[in-house]
Amino acid sequence: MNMTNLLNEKLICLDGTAADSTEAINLLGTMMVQDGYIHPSYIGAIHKREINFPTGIVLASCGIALPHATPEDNVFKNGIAVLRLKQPVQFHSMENPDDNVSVTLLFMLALNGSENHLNMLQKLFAIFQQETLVQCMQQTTSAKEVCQLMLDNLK
Amino acid sequence: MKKIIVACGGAVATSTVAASAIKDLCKANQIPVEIIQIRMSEIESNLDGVDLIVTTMRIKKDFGKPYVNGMAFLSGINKETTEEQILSYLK
Repeated sequence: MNMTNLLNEKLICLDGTAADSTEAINLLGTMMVQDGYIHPSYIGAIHKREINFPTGIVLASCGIALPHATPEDNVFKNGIAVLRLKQPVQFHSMENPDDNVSVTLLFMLALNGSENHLNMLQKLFAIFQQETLVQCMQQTTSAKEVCQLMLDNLK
Repeated sequence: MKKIIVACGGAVATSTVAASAIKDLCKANQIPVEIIQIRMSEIESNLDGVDLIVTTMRIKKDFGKPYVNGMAFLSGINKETTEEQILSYLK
């Protein structure tokens, strides 16, 4: 997979505010649309998928969500957008859709090609399992640092 | 050869993460396994000869087979307990 475009500082927002999960997803989607990664219809597909297969996950130190959809012709280049919220919003839990997860860190995935997608996902979860990395993403004020941290660990 | 179903709700994505962790775990413990990766909705029709079911989404239905929740392979929380649980059903 071409990694050069996967992340950039324009896809990272570390001081976001959103009233709910819908607004948070729209914030992420807008960043990706503005930087030419996705067609706006991909955001709609994500909202739809989130209802049936929610993506909230409880980690050791915080709640995260991985909003994504199956790319059709609406993902132009592979990318991951990151949003950190000042106040958490509620997502439904991937493990049990009846449960809620308070989410402060969101990663929107727009990844074409199933094989690469799975490989990337494994590496992403490896990041989420390292508490020091998650804590760094929770605390840093530098989008550049988040970008670098993720790229280093997704190689 | 032990047969394990690894399933998730949406597509194959999260179950792949869990399946690969289980593969490594079994290899490290020298347990030969066959892993069947499917959607939750397909479990019912694939139960033949299955020794264990692992899912990344909680299942409410009892399939009459040993079951382990594999969310720990995604979140990292209580991963060791989950690994022990899986091994206990395979030994």
